[in-house]
Order: sequence, then structure tokens, then C-alpha cells
Amino acid sequence: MSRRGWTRLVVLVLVTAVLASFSLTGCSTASAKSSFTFLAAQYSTATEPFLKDLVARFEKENPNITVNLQVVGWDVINQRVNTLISTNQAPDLLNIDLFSAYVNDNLLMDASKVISPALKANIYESLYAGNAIKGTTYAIPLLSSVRSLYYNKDIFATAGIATPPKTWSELRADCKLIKEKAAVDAYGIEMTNFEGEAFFSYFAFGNGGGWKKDGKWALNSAENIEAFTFMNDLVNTDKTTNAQPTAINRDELQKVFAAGKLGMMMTANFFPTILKTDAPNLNYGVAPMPCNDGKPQTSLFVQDSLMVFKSTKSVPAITKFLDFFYKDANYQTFLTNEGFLPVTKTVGTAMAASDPMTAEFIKELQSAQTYPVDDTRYPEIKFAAIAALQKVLLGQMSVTDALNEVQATADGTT
Amino acid sequence: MEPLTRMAQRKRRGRFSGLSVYLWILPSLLLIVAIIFVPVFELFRTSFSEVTRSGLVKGWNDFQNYLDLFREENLLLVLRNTLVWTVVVVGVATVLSMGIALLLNRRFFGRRVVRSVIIFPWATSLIITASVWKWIFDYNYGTLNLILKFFHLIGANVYWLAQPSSSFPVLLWAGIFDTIPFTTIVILAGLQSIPDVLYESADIDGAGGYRKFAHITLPMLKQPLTVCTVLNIIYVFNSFPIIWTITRGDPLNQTDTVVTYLYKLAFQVNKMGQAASISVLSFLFLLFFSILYVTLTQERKK
Amino acid sequence: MDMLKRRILHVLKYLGALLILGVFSFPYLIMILTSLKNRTEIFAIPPTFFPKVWQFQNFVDMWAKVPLAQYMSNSFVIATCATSITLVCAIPAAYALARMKFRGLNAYMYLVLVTQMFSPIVLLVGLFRVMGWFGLVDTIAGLIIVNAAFNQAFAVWILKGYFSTIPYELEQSAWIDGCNRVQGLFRVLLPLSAPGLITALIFVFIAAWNEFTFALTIISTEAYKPLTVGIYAFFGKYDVQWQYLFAVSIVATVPVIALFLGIEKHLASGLTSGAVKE
Repeated sequence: MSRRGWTRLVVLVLVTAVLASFSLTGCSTASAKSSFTFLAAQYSTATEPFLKDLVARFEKENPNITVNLQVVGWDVINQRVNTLISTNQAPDLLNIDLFSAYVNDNLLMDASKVISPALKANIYESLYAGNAIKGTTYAIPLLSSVRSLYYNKDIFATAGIATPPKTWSELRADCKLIKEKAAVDAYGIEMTNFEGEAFFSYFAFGNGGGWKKDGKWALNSAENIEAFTFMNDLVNTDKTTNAQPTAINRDELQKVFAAGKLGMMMTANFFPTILKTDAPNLNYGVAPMPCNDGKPQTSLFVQDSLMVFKSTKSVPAITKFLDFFYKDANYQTFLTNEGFLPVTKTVGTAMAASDPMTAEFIKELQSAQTYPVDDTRYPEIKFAAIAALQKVLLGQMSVTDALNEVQATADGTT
Repeated sequence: MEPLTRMAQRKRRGRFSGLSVYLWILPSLLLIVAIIFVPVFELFRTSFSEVTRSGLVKGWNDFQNYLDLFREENLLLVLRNTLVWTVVVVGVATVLSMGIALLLNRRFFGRRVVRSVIIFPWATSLIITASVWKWIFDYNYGTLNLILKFFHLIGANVYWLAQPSSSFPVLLWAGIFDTIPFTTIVILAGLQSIPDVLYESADIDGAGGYRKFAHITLPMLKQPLTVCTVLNIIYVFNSFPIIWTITRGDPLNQTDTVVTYLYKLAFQVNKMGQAASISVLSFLFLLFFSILYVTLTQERKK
Repeated sequence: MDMLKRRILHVLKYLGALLILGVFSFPYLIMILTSLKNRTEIFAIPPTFFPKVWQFQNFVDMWAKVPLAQYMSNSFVIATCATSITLVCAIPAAYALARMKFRGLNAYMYLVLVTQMFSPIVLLVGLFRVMGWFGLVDTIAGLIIVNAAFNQAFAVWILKGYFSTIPYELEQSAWIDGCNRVQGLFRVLLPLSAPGLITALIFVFIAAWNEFTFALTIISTEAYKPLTVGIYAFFGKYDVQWQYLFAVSIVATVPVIALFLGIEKHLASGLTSGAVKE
């Protein structure tokens, strides 16, 4: 009796556990329909509703295609994609910024095999070619943003400055004036893992330097050393920037700017979209990035792309979906929601015509440069560069030593 | 009690054949083996393999991940942080929880309210609680700066989270704060299992408060205390959201612990192999420590 | 003298209680106040302590921003089922570990513990593979099983600990009265270990309710997302909607607090002391 008692208990426990594990499993029926997974990155709270609606309308038009849409936050998208790839469950269509690692593992499909000729012809050639790795484009540009100088007109007026700075010497002088007369931080700088690479680029590009030279890492170039000495002077000698660039990120700086407590800062063209809701009464202006005296005007642009994995079995369906997504009305709504710049000519022309600020951004985009995203080591070098500049700003290392150290990391000689 | 137990054991042996004992454990074992065994195996395999930057596992690479790991310049700093983080958070939280549990075990007006407030940090997800702390200690918007300024204790805002000298203590506090509820509840449940008779007879013997605590309460709390200390050490060691939300281990890895560091290795610089190897090493350390701790506390009982 | 001492203790007791109350509610007070501000005020410099405009509307709007009711019901199903499975599996195991001597007893205690010694982050890839084998990727059932498995350690350890503190004689006398082991477990041991059982129950429920890392990887369909993953929508790439994030979090805390209040008196009832005296 007693033995039967506990045997019964154990059986009961097992059955409960097993049943519970399977009863809730959703069962999916295989279908002859074409379907694919679209893993999208979440830009704002508007992203998911927009994409859901887009997919719903697409499926209505194409009843034989099912799109399995997944919208993932930027914080975790790398983790999600890597997990999927490691377990051979890569998505069919992916929206992300960096993709060279996938190309390196031979996971991505040549974009020209997916994209329709009409769509390809409508995408700016420079942007499409700019995504190429060794001559082949694996990722279709989806959107881009360009960085400009945002300045508070009221603070400038208080400091007695008429026009935004165009050169570094003007920038430095204006910073001092603002700090003195308006008693606020003049120039917003961040140097954190959040987006330190952007601020690296603003200074390096602005002095004719950068991440690479002739396809090789050139982090300790003379131009870069001069550029970061200038940055360090603003922060530690003049003390005209925010107090702790290593402890505040760009989003937080934007909030300070929105609150009217920051003279100027570099950020992306989606900033006006944010300011419209956050600080509708802020009196601000936008100007091209200040560059060092005598150096050519440039700026930073960042581009996110769509890519198709080789493991997909639904190329025709994806081709159709891309045409639908980039259709002027859909695409323009998406960009306006998120405050990004278009990569297609038709929408580019339309948006430039309707809004002078966008026209200005699109113009700045032409001379802007971007990160060395075609290099698989870029993520690693990026964090090494940020760490080096943090050491400089925290007074632990000289500019030259810090940049030599990153260069050594990049060369693999450490 | 001893002779009776032994008698019962003899009696039980008659009732239970050797295998049947394991049937009691089977459901629990099956669950663990089915879900956790493979991921752990995979982790070990990854730690010995070359892994591409997009996450493909390529094969054996002669301990290269481990060798690379030891070449990371910040490894020692990270290990030191982890040690301080674990010891301070668990130590301070246990002492504070003991005090709180003793207080909550007494009857007083409003005890129910205090008992429910104590579980707030536990009932709220860690990311949220950590976000609130980050908010409170913020330079520009922080409530702490606001309050200190209101009482004229500081003239200008303080950058609490900029330097490790002030941000690490903030992290420790957030960790302690989040560890207290669990520890308190475990100790409280333990206190309630202590039979009143023991205290009553101690009263008759004329024992004072301290002696009652040292000779009755503490020994009777041994089991729950051992359990929650071992579990706490493992949980706190592996805790991720607090540090990630408040400082991300920055600047310059100065507030990184092993877990935030391995997250950076795995998903920021895409060195999954090295992340796996540091995880295997910390597992070995935790295993060694747990066995040592439990053995030592059990020894003392005899 | 004794009277004075007792008075002082009495006052200290209330001071202590007030201190605990203050410290532990402070961050949540800030959370509530922030959730009642509007966007502009949240980022005003200098900040405000109390909202200038009480934005109660946030608590109405948040339901439209995300499918909050869906998230909460998912979380509730996950936490409830995971807790049940955990306890159903852990109780017999803990009983065997506390009351029987057998080969591998210690080994099993450590095996259970070993499952906790890895950071979930590094187990994701393997776990995702296992979920794939069982067809549990992107299912609530998958998340339930994972939570049940990872909470075994806690449940087994805590229950074993409490079972061991209950004198064996009580069960043994029940056997003499004709109970078998299972009956002894249900009629004698479990009622006496109520505080321990409740501790385990609360712990597992809360752990499953707040689990984030696994849920984020396993679940991708909106309709299956638990609350922790769902509210992640408020963290955009360029923006965090603090007022909604905090408002939702406050609401998310309510079921847990309610659960705790509902069973707290059992925790407090001191069942064991009464029983041992008899």
C-alpha cells in the first residue's frame, strides 16, 4: 500500500510535469505558402506599430506570403542575431547596422540577387556601393542619418555670438564666450561606450584624420593626435564642455540641450523630431559640423541596412516585400516617423522639396564619411579607441600614448 | 532524537529498496538534465573552440580562448571588483537582514506594512529598481542632488556616477538593497521555525537577550543561513542588471564585474569564445567555493 | 529600571521600523512621482521633486501604448505554472535529500546548485538549441519549463533546509499511527514547513515573474511576451519613455505584492512552534 502510494505520487508528478510542458505548446501547421522572418531593429516606439501595419497591408495584398515580423531593441539585437546564427536559425531578412561579420562567415546573400532592378535603380548609387565589401554589396541601405551642430540661439544671443562656429578656432572662442557670459556648458561631448565612436569621428574627420588610411588602421595619425589634443583642451584646459564626458551619453546630453542648459552639441538629424515633442519652445538652430581651420568641410553619416541570409528559401517573397517597403508612401512615412534620411532618389527629392532642413541634411550627407563598417574588427577597435580617449580625458594618459596604444591593438602587436 | 532517528533509518531500509530513493529525485533531475545539461555542455565546448564574430563555432583551438583571456589587461581589475562586489553585498546584506528579520519577528503596530515594504525591491524587476537608483544619483536630474541642495549640504551638483570612487559604492548599495528582501524573508521564516519552548526555558534559566541570540537563535538559524549565504553568493556573483543599468561597468572597466565584462566580450566585441572561457572559470571557482563553504559549516555542526 | 529598558526598546523598535519603511519605499516613491510627471518636466533642469502638473493620464495612456493586459496575463501564466512545476518536482527531491541517506545525496545537492553557477547570458545559445529540439522556441510553455528548471536549485535547497529542521520524530510517530511515507509527508511535514514552502513559493513566483534574459531570447511573438520583455518597448534607440516605463512597472508590482500579502500571514503564523509543543 505504501509503496503504491509513493509510486503513484511519482507518476503523478511526472505526468503533470510532462503534460504541463506540452499542453501549452502552440502547434503550427505546415503550409504551402511562402513565408519569411523579418528581424527588425526598434528605432522608437513608433517602429513596431508602423512595421506591423506595413506587414499586415503587405500580407493582404499577397495572401500567399506570410511575414513573421520580430522587432528587437538595439540593446539586444546583436545578442539575438548571434544566438540565431549559432543555432542555424538565422532570420531571412535582417535590419541592423554592422554586418561585416556575417559577410566574413559567408552568411549573406549578394543583394543584387534579391533586390528588384527598379528598386536598385532608385537607391543612390553612392550609398549602395558604399555598403560593398570587396566589390559586392551584401546589404541594402535602409536609412541614414547625418550629424550636424545643434546650437541654442538664446544662449548664443546672451553670449553675443551672431553665427554658429564654422572652424575650430571659432568653436573654441565661442565656447569660452558662452561659458563666461551665459554660465552654461558650451559644448556637449560624450566619450562612453554608448556612442563615443561618433565623437571620435567628429574630431578625427574634422581634422582630415579618421579610423583608416588607405585601407589600414591609422588611429595614431598626426591628424588624429592634433584632433584629440584639441578635444582634450576643450574639456580639460578650457573646461568649456560638460564636466564628465566619460559619464554621460549622447541621449542624456540631448536632454540637457532640450532643457536649454547646453550651448551646442553634435548629433544626428533625428534630433529635431525628438525636440518637437520634448522641447517645442526651444529656440535652436542647425549648422554644418565645425572643422579645423583650412580642412575640408565634412561630417559623419551613419547608415543602417537590410540584408538577406543565404539560408532563406523565400527570395521572391522578400523581393516583393522590399518593393513594398520602399514604395514612396510607405518609406516616407517610416522615415518621417523616425526622423531619418532617405536612401531612395524619389523620396529624397520629395522630402528635400517639402522641408528645407531635410534638404540641407541631404546636402551635408554628400560630403560626410562613415565608420569603417566593412572591417570585421571594427567593433573591437571602436571600444579600444573609446577606452583610449577615456584615459586621455580622465588624465591617465597623454593623447599620443593613448592613440599609440590603440594602434598597437589594431595592428595586433600587443 | 539521535537514537530514534537511527532506529527509523533501520526501519526505513526495510521499506525502501535502493532504487526507489532515486525515484523521489527523478522529476527534479529530469527537469534539470533536459533543460540545463545541454546549454552547460555547449558552454564548455564553446570555451574550447574558435568562434567567429557572428557566432559560428568552428572547432578546437588549443585553449586559445583561455590564453587570450589572460592577456586582457583589465582582467585583474575585473576580478578584484567581482570579489569586492560579492563579499560586500552578501556580507552587508546578511547582517542588515538579520537585524531587520529580528525586528520583524517582534509584534508591533504596522508590522504587516513594514513586511510588505521590505519586499518591494524583490517584487520589482531588477532593471527597474536599478533604473530608479540611476535616476536618483543622476548628475542633472538626480533626486539626491536635489535634496542635498535643498538642505544646502552641497553648493553644486555632484557627479555621483562619474568616478568609480563614488559610483562603485552606489552599485554596492543597490546590490545590498536588492539582496535584503530575499535574505530577510529566509531568516524570518527560519526564526519562526524556532520553537518558543527553547526561549521559555532560557527565560527560566535567566538568560539575557544576547545569550539567547548566541545560544538559541544563531544555532537554530544555521541551516537557513547556510542556504541563503551560498545562494546569495552565487546570485550576487552572477548579477548583471544592476551594474549594467547604472554604469555599464564604465568608465574603463572600472566598475565591471566578471558578468558585465563577459557580456561585453560576448556581444560588444564578439569574442564569444573568451566569454565562455571566463564563464567556465568562474563556474569552477563558485563550485569550489560552495563545496568548501558547505563542508566547513557542516563540519562545525558536529 | 526594567520598565525603562523596555520603554527604550519599544521606542527603538518603532524607530527601526520607520527607518526601514523610509529607506525601502524611497526609490519607489521617486518612481511613482516620476511616473506622474509629463515628459518635459521629467527632464527639466533643475528637476522637481513633486510633479508641477500631476499627469495621472500617464496611467491611462500606458494601456494604449503597449498590450499591457496581455503581457500581464502572460507573466501570470508563466509565473504560476513555473511555480507549480518547480514545487511539484522539488518537494519529493527535497524530502528524499532531507530524510533518506543514499549514495549521491551530496552530489545531487551540488548538481542542483551547479545550474545556478553560470551567468544566463552564456547559456542562451545552448538553451535556444534545446528549445528548438523540443519545439518550444517562442512558446509560453518553453519559458515555463525553463523557469521551472532554473528554479529547482533554490526550491530544493530551501525546502531541504526546512524539512531538516522539522523533528523526524513527528513523522515517525505518524508512521506508527499507520501513515505511509507519502501520507506522512503531506499530513505532517508539509503543514509544519509552511514558512519554508511559502518562502520557496514566493521566491520562485517572483523569479519567474521578473525573469528577463531567457524570455528575451526565447519569445519573439508579441502575444507571448511577458511583462519584462514587453516593457522593453519603452527603451527606444534614442529615447526612454520613463513616465510610461515607471507607470507600467508600478502596475506590474501590484500582483506580486498582493500575492505576498495574501500568504504573508501563513509565514507569520508560527505553525511549527505550536506543533512541536503538543
